[in-house]
Parts: sequence; structure tokens; C-alpha cells
Amino acid sequence: MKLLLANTWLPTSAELHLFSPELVLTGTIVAVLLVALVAGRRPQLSAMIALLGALLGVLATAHVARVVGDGGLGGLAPPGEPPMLIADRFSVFFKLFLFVLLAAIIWLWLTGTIERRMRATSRPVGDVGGPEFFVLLLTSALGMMLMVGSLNLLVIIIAMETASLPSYAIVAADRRSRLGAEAALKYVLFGAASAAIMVYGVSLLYGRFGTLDLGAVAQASSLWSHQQDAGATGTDWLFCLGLAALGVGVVFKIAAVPMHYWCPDVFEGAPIEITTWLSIASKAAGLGLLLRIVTTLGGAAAGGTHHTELLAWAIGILAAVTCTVGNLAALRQESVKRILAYSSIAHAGYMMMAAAILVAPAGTAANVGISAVVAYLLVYLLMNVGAFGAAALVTWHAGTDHLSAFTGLGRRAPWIAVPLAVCLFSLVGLPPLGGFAAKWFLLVALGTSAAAQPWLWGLVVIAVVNTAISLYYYVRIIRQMFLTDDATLPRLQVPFGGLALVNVCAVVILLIGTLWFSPLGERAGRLASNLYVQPTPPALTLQP
Amino acid sequence: MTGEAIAFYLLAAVVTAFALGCVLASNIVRMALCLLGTLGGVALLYFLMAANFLGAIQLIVYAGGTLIVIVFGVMLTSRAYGTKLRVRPLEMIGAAVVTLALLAGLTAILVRTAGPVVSPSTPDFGVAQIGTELLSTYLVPFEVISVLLLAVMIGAAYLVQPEKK
Amino acid sequence: MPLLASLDTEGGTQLLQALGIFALAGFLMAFAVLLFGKFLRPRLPHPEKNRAYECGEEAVGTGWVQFDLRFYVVALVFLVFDVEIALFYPWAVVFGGGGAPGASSEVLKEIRWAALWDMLFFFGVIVVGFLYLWRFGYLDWVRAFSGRQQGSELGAQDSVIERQTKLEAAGTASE
Repeated sequence: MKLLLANTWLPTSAELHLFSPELVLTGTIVAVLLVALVAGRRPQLSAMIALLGALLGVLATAHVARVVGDGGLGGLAPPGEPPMLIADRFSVFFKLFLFVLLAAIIWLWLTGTIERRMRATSRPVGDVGGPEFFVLLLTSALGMMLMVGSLNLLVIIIAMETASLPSYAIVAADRRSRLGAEAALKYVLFGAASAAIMVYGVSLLYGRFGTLDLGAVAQASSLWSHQQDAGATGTDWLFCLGLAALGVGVVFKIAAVPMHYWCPDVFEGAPIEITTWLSIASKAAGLGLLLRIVTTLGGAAAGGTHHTELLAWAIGILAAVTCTVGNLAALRQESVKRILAYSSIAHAGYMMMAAAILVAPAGTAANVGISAVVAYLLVYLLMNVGAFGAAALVTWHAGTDHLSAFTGLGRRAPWIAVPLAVCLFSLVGLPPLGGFAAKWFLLVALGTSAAAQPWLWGLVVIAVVNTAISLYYYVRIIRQMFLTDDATLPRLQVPFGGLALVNVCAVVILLIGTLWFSPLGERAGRLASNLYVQPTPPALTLQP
Repeated sequence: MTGEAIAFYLLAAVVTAFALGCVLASNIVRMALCLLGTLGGVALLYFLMAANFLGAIQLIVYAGGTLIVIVFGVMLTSRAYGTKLRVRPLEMIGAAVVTLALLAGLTAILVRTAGPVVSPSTPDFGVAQIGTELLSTYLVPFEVISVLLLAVMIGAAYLVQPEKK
Repeated sequence: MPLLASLDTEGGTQLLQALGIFALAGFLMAFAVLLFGKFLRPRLPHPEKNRAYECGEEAVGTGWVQFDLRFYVVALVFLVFDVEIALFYPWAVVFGGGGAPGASSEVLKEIRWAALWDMLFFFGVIVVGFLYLWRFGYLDWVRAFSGRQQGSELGAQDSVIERQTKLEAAGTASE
């Protein structure tokens, strides 16, 4: 449809093509409900539709990847306006990441229902499902995709709400579990408070810069900074405050310190499929958004300003504290879900370290950090799906996720114990596993950028020390599986689907650590290149 | 002082008083009533700024809708009425310190900052203008909200549906 | 509508003045009626008069009973409708041509088509949710959830007193 006046505007079909993954996801959400309207509430049917939608989404994303090609494209805004959504390699990576994860989660759910149906006479705790469950899961996925694919602060807020609100509900999906209800309440309260702070921060930014477009905010801010630098070093405190308040919402999603309190309780109380989903997707989307914000600000501030330096320091300190707190708190946990929850906090800390690089003075350094995070996230997905998947199989069987449920697993279920051990060693970051590759790329990125920012060496040291600490609690689980045994415990009968998922994860982790070590780095570097860059607006005038 | 300034300070005082009442009340129904006062006062502030549509929406959605949901929440909770929500003095002092520090910090920053770096493009917010913006520049958020509202409805229904026997 | 059309803050003050006068007049009128009644009516206080039902019906228990949770869905659906008003009204103004005053009929037609497509997507998504709630009985007022009524712990047909006693029994049981 052609454009008329400024009064109306419909997106062109080329633009809609660019955002077909989101449209596919929306279509899947509607389809799950429509089929339920006709066929009644059949959880497995809904699961199949959701799975189909996720696979279609992968295809749509592949299509977008071809269209995007070399450079990022903006779109879905009338001509002359800054784009509402953007499509570049980074966002394509995240869409693919989320679709694959979605498929894995639904697969896990399907094996879970089979497992539970095999044995249970009454409905066991942790049995969740129904069309609503999948609608909520898919909607939160949609929100996360939008979070990473926009530079508009309004879209970012709405995307974060779209990611959060369904998550609150699915955490309490198992209405028999008191722990689940408590977890959902804690999640809602934390989420609502952080969302309120974030919206307040955005309102401050809008009041300061008169625009909701993050690119324009970044340009205006850097222009202001450079003007000030000519005279005295002024700090734009309102800008910093707005940014910090915006950061609270992002940090909540990543579950980094100081907004990490919800994480262990929610992970423990939620059904294990949802724990897996939140531990990976929520963190990935939050990190993606953080990287997007930081690259935009750092990219606009050519040569770096007083403000970007402050921002880099803030992120670096938060990252260091986050991974230390996560690792130290994990040492004393007895529940495997909680151990993995604190481990995910620690890993969020490692990944946030890369975000501190992005504000490096040299403009080229930007991609180093993003490619490190992309590589890390890929491996993190496999490690966490493997570890949580194996934990899920054991938990469904034993009815508890206490460490004692893993006793003698090496004898009772070697096909769970071995891949779980691989995933755990990979989470530590030992060679020759994928986790080592991820940490290696991260540390190399930090080291190469340390030429410009010497304090990054501090982060390298903290990351290495933390890796050593983390060895203890991961090995505790492994020790429980292989070195303790109770001959009275029977062997585990587990569904084949779950075993396949866990073992595939372990094998790919092994492959990444050995054969695909350098391909991973190259691929990640390619995905991190050619981000969408805001074209400089023609006339940006500052008021005195 | 102009009439506008007088009206602003009066309304601001009323809103602040209600907000304090909402926080300090120990009866949950009174809290809800104070919240109504706060939300209504904010709507009047919008009217004062000639943001008529926003003020009307504030009254309809917040003072009308959200508050009803809160009152329903109270009614649906057994024994909520008799319960006195008390805050221990130590918690009260802690909260007061944090709040006052935040207030002081925000005031200091706002006083130091001269004003907007770039002024907003148009100060035009008639309903027709809002509608046009909603259907052109802000079409994406507009459509995303539909999915969000769908999820909210489905999520609410999911959480209250009875436990299968 | 000169007040609503004005965009400067002067208009805001004017509007507020009008609202203030309106509120004051309303308050004075109610006050005057009460005052008038106070002079006219006889004053004969009696404890019977302070009871809930002057006809002699004894009140049982407290008025603060727990309501059925299904009302919550209704409240939330109402809230969704409420939010929709905020989005539908500006849309309707644009659809009616208010966004482009003085535009030719051809342009207006294009505007309407574009607005219609936008709204079809928006409402198409939301209406699926309503259909879902409707299909599975979340909007039914009397029979809340099909299959739940027989032997349920809080049936809708129960009288208030029965429900109250059941509630209390459930409360003591859980304690």
C-alpha cells in the first residue's frame, strides 16, 4: 500500500517480511487458542502446535537472516521517523536462539508428561499444561524477541512487560505447589517494583532529551558531553539517573546483583520447564538489551565520554559483584535447582563483564564484547538445557530436587549422569568442553580490550578466581552421583525423549570444546558484526 | 503567583497527602480509598496541564478500573478486613531514611539540571493527534499491546481456574 | 468544545476552574439538603434504629465474607476493556476523520482503510482471548465452572449464610 499524508501509514510488505518471526509467533499464540476453541483443552495438541510454531519461527528467522545480509535494517515506522523495530544479525541471532530454546522447552514438557503419565496414579506435583500454559510461554518469548530488537524506549518497556507478565503467571502454573505460588508472588513484587523504576527512568530520559528513541538520546547526550568537555567536565546527572533507573529493569531481567533476590526462590518454586526457560531466555534477553543499550550509547559517543566511562565502570563493578555473590551463595545450597539458580546468577555476571568492554574508546572494540557474549550464550543454552533437563528427569522420578536424589546416579542411570557431569564440568569452564571455549573467548575479549581500559584486567582476575570457587559446588553434585551410592536404590526408568535431549546437549558441548572451537569464534564474530546503527539525524540542535 | 501555580500547589499537596495516607494507613480498605484520592488528584493534575484525554483515561483506567481490581482483591481475600497491617518502628525508620535520601537526591539533581537538552517536538496532545500518532509512529507498540492484553486475560483465567480433581 | 480543543496550559486552568465550580456547587447542594433536613426532622434516637435491618431480621456473622474467586476474572476482563477504551477512542477519532480535518474524501477513505487494518489486527488478537474465556465458562455468572458444581465447597447457589458457615468450617479445618 502506498503512503498517503503523514496521517496514515501501513507497513510495507517488505517491512513485514523483515519481522516475520514475530508475526509467526503471534500467529502461533492465536492458533493455540483457536484450536483449543474448536477441539477443547488438549495440552498435548497445544504443545504440538507451539512446537510447530517454534520450528516455523526458525524458518522465518532464516529467511530474515538472508534478507538482513550485511547490514542492519530498521523498520516499522513511517518514513522519516526512527525505526520502532530493527533487524540485524544480532537480533536474528536472538530470535533463532529463543526459537530453538522454545522448541527444547516444549520437547522437555512433552517428555515430562509422558514420564508422569507412565507412573502416576494421582496427579503429581509439577504437572502443568493446557493451552494457556503454552500461550503464556509463547507470549513471553515474543516479549523477549522485541526486547532485543528495538531501540525505542517505549517498545522496550512494552516488550519487557510482555516478557514479564506471562512469566509471573507460568511460575505459578502448578497450583498445587505452595512454593510455586510464593515464587510467583515474589516475582511479581520484584518485577512490578523494577518495572516502575524503569518507567520512571525512561520518563526522565524523555524529559531530558525530548525523544523516546535511544539512538537520538545517545547522540544528544554525547553531543552535550563533548560540548561540556570543551569547558569543564560536567556530569549530566539527570541522564545518569535516568539511565540507572532504566538499568534497574534490565538488571532485574538478567537477575544480576542487586536485583537477584527473586531468582533462587522463583527457580525453586517454578515447574522445572519454566525454570529452564527463565534461566536461559530471561537472562539472554536482558543481556541482549543491555548490549544494545550500551553499544548504542558507546557507538554514539565516538572516542568515549565521561558518561560512557562511568557506565562501563558501573557495569564492570556490577558484573564482578554478581558473579562473586552467585558463586559464594551456591556453595551452601542443598537443592539442585537452587544451586543451578545461583550458578546462573554467576554466569550472568561473567557475561555482563563483556558488556563493560563495549564502551571502550576505540569504536572497533565494540564487536569483541558482543561476539564474546554471543558465543557464551550459545554454549550457556546447551549447558543449562542439559543440566536442567537432567535434573528434571531425576526430579520427576524422585519427587524432589534435593542433592540426595542424585545419589548413585552413575550406576542407576548412566545415560543421565554422564551428560549431566559433562554439562556441569562445562559450566565450570574446564577444557575440552564448550564452557571452556565460552570462557576463553570472554577472557580474550577482556584481555584485548584491556589495552584501552586497564581496569578490565581486574575483571579477568575476578572471573578466573570465581571459576575456581565454582568448581566446588559443581563437583559436589558430580561426587554425589558417582562417589556415593546406596545399593537399595533401584535403576531409573526414564523416557527416551528426555535422554535424547540431554545427551545431544552434552555431545554438542563436547564438539564445541574440540572440533568447533574456532568455528564458534568465527561464527560469533560474524553475528556480532554490522549492528544496526542509527543514522545521524540531519539537524540536532542543543538548547543552552 | 498565577492561578495555575496556586492550583498546582493545591493539587500537589492533596495528592501527597493521599499518598502518605495510603502508605501510613493500617486498614487495607482505607489504603484503597487513599489510593483513589491519589489517582484522582493526578488526573486533575493532567487536566491542569491541558492533557484532557490523559486525565480522562487516568480516571477511567486507574481510578475506575485498577482500583476496582484492588478492592476485588481485598474482597476475595478472607479475613482481610480485620487485619491491621502494622509496620515495625525499625522498618518505618529504615523506609523513611531511604525515601528521604531518594527525595533529596532527586531534588538535587533536578535543581542542578538546567532543562531539557532537546525540547520535545510538538506540545500537541489532542485526541486526534494522539490517534494519528498511535496509528502511525507508534503502531508497533499499539499492536504489541493487543498481544500483551491477550496474555493478561489468559494468564488471569489460568491462575483462577479450579484445581482438577 | 473550546475547552477541550485548547492546547495551552491556560486551557488547563480554565478547565480546572470549571471542574472546581462544578464540584463546589455539587457539594453545597448536598450540604444544603442535609442542613435543611436537620431543621425539619424530629430527633428520636433509639438503639433499634442502628441495626442493619430495622424490620427485625437478625444479622448473622460479618459482612466481610470472602467472595468467589471467579469474580476476579470478571474484574480483570473489565480492566482489559477499560484499557481498550484508552486505545479505541483515539482510533475512532482517526477513523472518523478527525486526524485529518479538511482532507478530501479520497484521502479520508485511505485513512479509514489503514485504520481499519490496524484495528483488525489489534482486535483480532484480543477477541480470541474473549472467545476463549467465553468458551470455557470463565464469563458465566452463575455456573462458574462446568463440572465443579456437584459437591463443590463453595457453590454459587448456596445462600450467603451457608457459604459463611462453610467458609468458617474450612478456616478451622485448615488451622
